Formats: sequence, structure tokens, C-alpha cells
Amino acid sequence: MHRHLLLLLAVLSPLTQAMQALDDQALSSVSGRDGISLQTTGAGWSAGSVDYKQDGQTLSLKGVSGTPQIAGSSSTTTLDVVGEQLQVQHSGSAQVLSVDNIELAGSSKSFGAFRAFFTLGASLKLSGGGASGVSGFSLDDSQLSLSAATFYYRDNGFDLIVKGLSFDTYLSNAYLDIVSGGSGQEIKLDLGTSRFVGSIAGIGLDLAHGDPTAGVAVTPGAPDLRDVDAQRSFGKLNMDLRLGGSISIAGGGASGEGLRIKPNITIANSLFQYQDEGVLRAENFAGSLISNSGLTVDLEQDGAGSYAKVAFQDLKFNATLGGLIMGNPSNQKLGGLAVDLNFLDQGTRQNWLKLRPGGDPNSGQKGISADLSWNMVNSSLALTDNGNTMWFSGLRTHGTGQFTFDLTKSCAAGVSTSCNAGTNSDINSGGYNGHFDGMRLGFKNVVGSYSFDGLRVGTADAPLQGGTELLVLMEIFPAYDFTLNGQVTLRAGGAVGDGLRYNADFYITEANAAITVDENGRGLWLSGSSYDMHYREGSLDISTNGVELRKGTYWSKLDVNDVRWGDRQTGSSIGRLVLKRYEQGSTLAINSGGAGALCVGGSGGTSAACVASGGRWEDRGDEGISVKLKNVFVRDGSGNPANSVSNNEKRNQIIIETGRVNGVNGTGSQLVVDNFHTSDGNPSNPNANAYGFNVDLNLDVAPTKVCSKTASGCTPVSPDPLGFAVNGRVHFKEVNIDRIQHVHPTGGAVTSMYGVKLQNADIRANLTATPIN
Amino acid sequence: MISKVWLAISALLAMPAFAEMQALDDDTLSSMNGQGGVYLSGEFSINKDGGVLWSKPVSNNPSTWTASQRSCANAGATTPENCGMRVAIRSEADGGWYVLDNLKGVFSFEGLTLRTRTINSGFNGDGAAFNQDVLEFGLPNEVKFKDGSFAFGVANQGGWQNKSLSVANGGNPSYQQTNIFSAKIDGTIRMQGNVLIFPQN
Repeated sequence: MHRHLLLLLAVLSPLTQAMQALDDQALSSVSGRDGISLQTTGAGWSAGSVDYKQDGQTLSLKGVSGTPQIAGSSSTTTLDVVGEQLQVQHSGSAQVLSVDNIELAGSSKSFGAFRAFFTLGASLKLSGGGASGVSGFSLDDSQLSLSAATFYYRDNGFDLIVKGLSFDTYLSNAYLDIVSGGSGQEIKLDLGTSRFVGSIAGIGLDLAHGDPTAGVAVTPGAPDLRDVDAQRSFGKLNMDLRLGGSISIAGGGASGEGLRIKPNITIANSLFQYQDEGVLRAENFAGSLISNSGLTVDLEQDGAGSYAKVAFQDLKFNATLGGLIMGNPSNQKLGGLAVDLNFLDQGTRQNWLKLRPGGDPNSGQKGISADLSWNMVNSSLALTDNGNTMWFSGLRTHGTGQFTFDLTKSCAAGVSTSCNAGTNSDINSGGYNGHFDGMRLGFKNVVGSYSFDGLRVGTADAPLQGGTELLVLMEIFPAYDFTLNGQVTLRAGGAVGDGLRYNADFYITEANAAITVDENGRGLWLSGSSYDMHYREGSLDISTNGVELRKGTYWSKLDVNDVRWGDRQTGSSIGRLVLKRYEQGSTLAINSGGAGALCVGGSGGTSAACVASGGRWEDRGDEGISVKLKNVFVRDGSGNPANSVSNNEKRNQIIIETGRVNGVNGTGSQLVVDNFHTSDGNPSNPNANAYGFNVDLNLDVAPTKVCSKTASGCTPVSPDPLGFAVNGRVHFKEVNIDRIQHVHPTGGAVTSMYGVKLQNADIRANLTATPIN
Repeated sequence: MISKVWLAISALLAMPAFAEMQALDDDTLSSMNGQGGVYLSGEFSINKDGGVLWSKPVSNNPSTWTASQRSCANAGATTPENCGMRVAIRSEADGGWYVLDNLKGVFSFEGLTLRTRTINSGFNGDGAAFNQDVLEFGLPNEVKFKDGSFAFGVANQGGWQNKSLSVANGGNPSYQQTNIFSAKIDGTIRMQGNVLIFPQN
């Protein structure tokens, strides 16, 4: 049990350190005559190793020390008994906690090093009598605070820095109790109506190796400014959570020794905000987080070495975001968003995370690897738009895979300590296997799948309907299974100000994506697909206009082995489809506010003008989501070789192949749409290419006119049923196709069209999906 | 993202697929309730308020237009008109271009359905032998066409240019286009039954 308590302290240490300096007024109110006042001054403490042992495994913190930031500074603690309460006031001096290495015994690798600068404060009011009225403590009206905190995580000489962190805990009607749980005694913290307020002023990276002066660690007051991006940040975070319910902690993990944490937490009237130039804010955030069997924490070992395992047999998280704002706080709201996520173990589909020391094999001895397994059943997402709600119902996902986390550096700007050039060092090729600058998240053999049952509009038990098909334009498929490998490397700072920039390579194989699918898994499938995607110098920002994703230089190849009807594996195939894309300057923007008022079946900007032109005026309200996709397709300048199909990696090309012999690619007949690209169609500047191929989507939940199909003519269903309304617009100034080729397996390639030019397009599809009536 | 546009188009047009019309009986209709699938209402339009490359000039006289303006009203008409989409195809390496110009219109409907369906019975006994999945487009009863138009012609280059303007002003006096015919479509078409699409090897 002592070990468990030790681990409990280690796990909860961020909370117990969450304390605040007391002001004079607060101190004056507790200066009783009978109290004890302690003033502690010292040079701090250090330990060569702090070990936690469990079931034969050891987690070691090496080189641990705690020292005051200013030598000779002192902390003040007073203890007093007022009424029936023990009152403890703590006003800590600014401290540094340092851990040189976090290791699992038996591994030559480590999780990395950690340093924290912080100031603690506390005002604890303890009295006897827990929630059960017999044992335990009441913690009512206690406060804990962590302020002026900066965290450094160091991996292979590079730092991830969390700056300006503060965390205040206000406990109200809270009790700490020993209760009898399902597996013995548990420590139960009843949160009452407590409040947790936290903020982070910035998260940045320091990719200058080591310290400016060897052996002298940097401090928040004297930062390392050698890296050009040292001052840039991923953004600011704020949260104000009002939590109730309880957290119980028991000894004994999933097997043997260990720890079991059972959250039964309710969230009410809370706020969460991410801030870049614009904000992403969830107001009136409420919900619950419940695990009946609890989260278990164990140290274990397998053939690959020791690991720390966090597992849960069940976990239910639901949340409603009453007002979601994306971009400018004074702008329209997105509406409400609700999630209901149910994680549940089912046979071999389980929920666990195995943390292992050391990240990607090419990124040195430090970093973090995680084997992850997840299984989410019967979950849903709901979107409320002007009071109308739509559920993405029956969301299921499961999978397993390995994830790695490292801080890495490329050698593109010259060889430097801990950089990795890879064996293919051409950073602009799809085969590049070195590292990029930044925080790298690697994916290895992530085998997963997800599916939706469909949409329900209006009420949670409304009939299932299609409509997720309308999201395929955004590559959100109604069902998808895949194997993912690759990486995404993030750098602090976006295209403007805070945010992030990224380089990424994704390799998706053995994928089956549904274009449309019914409740029995039958539909139109992209079967046996592989999809390679490469992004260079992309960025992601939240501006006052919403979310802005810039794809930078992007090229990809989607190779669908079979476009199948019916079953994803055995349905009849119409052949193979290959889509290659090469884009520069493409963007994806998401903002709040849907289609607003518009004219269907006619034209006109007002209700009267629309009706006069024979249309129907539909007002879809001021909430909803708008998505703008801009694809700037770039012409491949490597030429169009006669009588052969170009296989250049960076080229826009569509190949349709049918009649393959034994399913072998290249043995059938091909139709090739070759080297297509966008242009601004400007006669005086033929090379201008900024407008691109645009897809604008407005998503709403709104009523629409529906005819009963059983009646002749159109007998409207009354009242107008609610539907998933998608207002889509495809527009481009000019799209050119250099040529269209036909390829015969023995006759070779011939050109049938020596050019196709499409100009001045503004194609709109304004569709509302409702159940089939 | 574009992949799916092409895919949808290719699925509808380019594939070796068979399409067949079939009237719905009451049993079939009643069995459609509460299933997956989707009922679509709304409109599909091409350039209903003009395009994005050429804006509508004040006058129908080409010599008064700027480089980014074009009117697609008939020559000599008093008022200018928005232009539709233009598609040009060149079938020879150094040849001229076929042009489908001023393609525009609004097509609105209530009740286009889309779902997957297994056919293994019916069709006077052919269904059992067929025993295959199909994509079923349930046709709306009525499709309204509004302000539809297109013109078919030939031109000496793929991109349109204003021959009344000098090259310096964004025009091209040597540009030639001859329209062979043009059409306008307005009205209502009754479309009943289903279109079934399935692969055929």
C-alpha cells in the first residue's frame, strides 16, 4: 500500500503542487495566537534516484533535485486551529524541480529529462467527517495554486517549453474519504462543486541543441534564443472547469500491484479556449467522464521491454458545448456541439496505452513510444444549428498501432548535433526518410477503422438516413478502414503569429473507403486502396476568419485497386482508379455560420426576387459551418512524352484501368487524364495560378420541402422535415488538361485529345438530405 | 478532395455501367421507410449568377469590355448577359478546338433518392439470376429546368479572347470562334422510376 501511496503522490503531484501565494490579507486573517508558523529556508534537496517498483518492474527518476530559484529565499507555512478546522496556509518560494532522466529499468532508452519552475501556494481548511460522516476529511473552502510555472521537456538535446502556466484549484464542499470499493478500500475525493482555473501563455520549441553555455541550464528569465523560432508559440490556452462528482483511487492495477483510478466526474458551465490570432472557444461546456471499472496503471514487461500501461475496460465521456466559437468572438457562433463517446473492451478489441522509453528508432535514445489500442462503440456526435439538431449516429472506431513522440531536427540547413538526414536526404521527395525540424509524431502500422450508421435529424431516435455521403468532398468517408504509417512534424508559430507549421508524410495502405454505404455495409467502396500524401511547409492557424489550414506544397497518389459495388471485399469491381495530385498554395478554411438565407430553384438575393423567379427562399439561420477548399493544381513541367504515360511523382493525373489480367495493375486498358492543372485564365499572364479549383460548402441543419413519393406530382410532406443541408459550390477560372491518353496493354499509349480547357465555372449544388419518405 | 468529384462523375458517366429504368411498386416504396439511404431535395446549377472568370459588362458591345469582361448575349442584343461555363477540346495535336460555350442553367428537384440495393428477386424472374448490388437513384417526379442554355461551336484556340480588343488590352484580334448552334431550355420534365447502376464485367 505504501508503494501505491507513493505512486499516488507522484501521479497527483501536479495537483498537490497546484498552490498559490497568499496575499497579506489572507495571511492576516489566519494569524491566531495559538497557531504555528514555519519559515523554511534551505539550499533544497537532491536524490540520485527515486524508484517506484511494482510487480518486479522499476520506474526510475534519475538525478532528481528541488532547489529554490533564488538562493536563500524562504517559504512560509502557518498551521492554526479555528473552530473545528485545521487551517494550513502555505506561501512557497519559487522552486525548480529537475529530473535528469526518466527510465524504466532494463531499457537503455529513456523518456527524456524534465525541469519545472514554479511557485506553490495553499490555503487548506481541514475538518473531520467525510462524505460518509464517519471517516475522512472535509476540504471545504480550500485553495491550491500553482503559479508562474514553466516546464521544460528535453529530448535528445532539444526542448519543448510550456510557458506561463498557472493552475488554481478552489475546493467547495469537497471531501476526502476512505470508502469500500469493488476491490477493497479506496480513497475517494468528492469534488463537491469545485472549480479549476488554468492558463498557459505559450508552448514553444527550442531546437538549438543543448544549452547556450554548456552545463548551465537555461531559465525562464534567461531563455535560449539561438533558435530562430525560440520566441514563437503554438498558441495560448485557457480553461475554467467547474467539476463535481468524485475520483476514487484504489490499490491494485489490472493485474498484481498497481493503481486503479475511477473517475465519476461531472462538468458544468465550464469554458475552454485556445487562442491564436482568433479563438476557438467552447462556452457553457458541460458533461461527464465516467469509468466504472476505472483506469488502471501498471508496470509490465513483454518481448519488446518494460512499459507503463494505462488501461480501461470502459470509459464514457459526454460533453455538450453550448456555444462554440471559431475565429472572431463577436462573429456568429457555430451552434452547439455534443459528443457522446463510449469506450468499451470487447474481446481482443481493448483500450490501453503502453508507454515505452525512447521514440523513433532514428531519433536517439530519448523520446516516448506508445502502443495504443482503442475500441469505441456506439458513440455519436451531434450538431445543433439554430435549435435544430443532427446526430452522426452509431460512430464506431477501433484499432491498434504504435505512436512515437520526439523532438527532432533535419540536416537540411547543415549537419548539426542530433540532426537526422536519413538514407534518402532529398527533403522534397516522397521517399525522404530523414527528420524535419520540430515536434515529431510518428505512426507505425496503425491499423484502424471507423464507421457511422448514418444521420439522425431532429430527434435522437429519428430514423437513420444517409447524408454523410455529402461530406466525401472533405475526404470524410461514411466508413473507412486503413493501415497508417508516416509522421507529422510540428513547429511553433503559424503562417502569421501563433499557430503551427507542419511537414508530413502519410502512407495509407490496405484501405477501404465507402463513398456511400448502408446499414449492412453494402455500398460503393474504394477497395484495396493505397494513399501516399506528402506535405511540405504547411501551416495551421486560427485567425479571426476561422480555422485556416495551408497545405504548402502537397503531392499525393491515391491508388484504388477496385471500385466496388456492394461488399467492400467481394462486391463487383468496375476497375482500378489512380489519382495523382500536385498542388502548391492549396488551403482549407473552416468558419462558423452556414449558408444563411438563399434561393433554391431560382435566383435572387431577396425572398421576393427569389419567389418571382420561380425559386423557393430558404433561411437556414445564422449558425452552421462553412468550409472552403481551394486546390491550386500545378502543371508538371517535365513534359508530356509521346506514346508513354508519365510516371512523374509530382503531377496531376487520373488513370482508370479496366480489364486487368488476374487483377495485375498495368495489364488492362487505361484511360489517362494527364497533367491537369488550374490557371487564372489571364491572357496577359498565362502563368498566373492563384485562384485554383474551389469547393465551398455550407453545412446546416434546416427544414426543407419534401414531396411524398407515394403521391402523384409533388404532395409536400407537412410540416417541412428537417434535413442535413449542404450548399456546395465548385468554382474555378480555368482548368486545363494537357492531354487524354488511351493505353492498350500491347498497343501502348495513344493520345486522343490534345488539350481540354474548362473556363468560367460556377457550379452549385444545393441539396438537403432527409430520410426517404 | 477532387478525387471524389471525378469519382462521382466517372461513376455516373464513364464507367462500363448499365442503367435501367424501373417503376416502383407499393411494396418497394413501403419498404424504403426507415432505411439508410438519402432523399435529396434542392437544385443543381451551372453559372446561375455568371462565372468567376468573366464578369458581366455594362454594354453588349465587345469593344467596350475590359480584359476580364464578357457578355454572352447574342450579338446585337441591347442588354448584356452573364456567361456560362466553357469547355473546349482539341482532338488533333495542332488542330482547332471544339467548343461547348455558355453552358448554364438551374435544375431543381424534390426527391432524388440514393441508396444501395440488392436485387435478387422480381424483374419477371430475372432478379434471382442477377443477384447483385446496385446503386439506386430514385428519380424525382419533376425536374425543373430554368434559364438553361449552351452553344456548340469551333474555335482556333481553347481559351476565349475578345477579338475586339488589342493584345495590349488583354484581347486578341486573331481569335476566331464560330458557333454552329445554340440552345435554350426552360420547363419541367417528369422523371419517374429508378436508375440502377452496377458494374458489368
